[in-house]
Amino acid sequence: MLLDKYVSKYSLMFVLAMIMSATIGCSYVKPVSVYDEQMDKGITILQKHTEEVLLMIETYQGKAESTYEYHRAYYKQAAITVSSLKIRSEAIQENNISTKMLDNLLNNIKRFEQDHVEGITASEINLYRGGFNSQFTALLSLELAKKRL
Amino acid sequence: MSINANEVMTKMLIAAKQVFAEKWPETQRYAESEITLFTDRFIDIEKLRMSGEITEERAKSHIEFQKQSWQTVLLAIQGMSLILVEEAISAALNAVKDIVNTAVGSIFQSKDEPEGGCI
Repeated sequence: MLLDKYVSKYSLMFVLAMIMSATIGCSYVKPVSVYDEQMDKGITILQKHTEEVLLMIETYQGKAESTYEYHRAYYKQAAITVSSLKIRSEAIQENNISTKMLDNLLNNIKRFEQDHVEGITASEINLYRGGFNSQFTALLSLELAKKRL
Repeated sequence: MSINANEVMTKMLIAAKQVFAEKWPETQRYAESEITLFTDRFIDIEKLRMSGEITEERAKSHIEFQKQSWQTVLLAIQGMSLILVEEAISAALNAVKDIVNTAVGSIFQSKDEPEGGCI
């Protein structure tokens, strides 16, 4: 009886201490990585260049300024930018979420390029614009949220 | 000195709830706003297809494009939720740090300690 009282009194404390220790380990734990200024700047610049291309396709329909050939350099640079950001992201521990988001963005840049080669009408531009803006906003929102940590 | 488990758990829950109450609505608003935008875009794709302005193949390409974009948004929400959980855990642990340290010794280290983790 006395042993039961002793065990029940201290076991709760022991269990609580073990749970807390297991939760926090030996120090502060981060499931999401820290803010990366390069990601913030890189995505912001890419968004600007993407909008420039969308605007030109929309405005100069039927003219050279709307063709794929005119904007070939954008696609090359966009792919390089996203790949560079992906390498940084993969090098940072526990940054799987941002890496996956960059994969999605690269897939869409490639799809946009493919469609552009075939020809894009002005009425389609808002679809690309909206999709891209959602992706850029998602990437930047998450990056800014990491600043809280 | 023994730990009052009820007191500890109550303080932790209050601290964690506070974080969610303050910050979850922002994430929720973001999610709802994006859902509306994506719904509108899928309707627009259908309109363009029905009017003949785009082919069936191009319509499918647009849908795939929007799906990739939507996945990105979901990943952002997942990330923001994880950050929120971490903030809630930190707040909860900070709320009871003194109680536990006094009772059982220094299990908790302060937030100024070097970053890292056993997990």
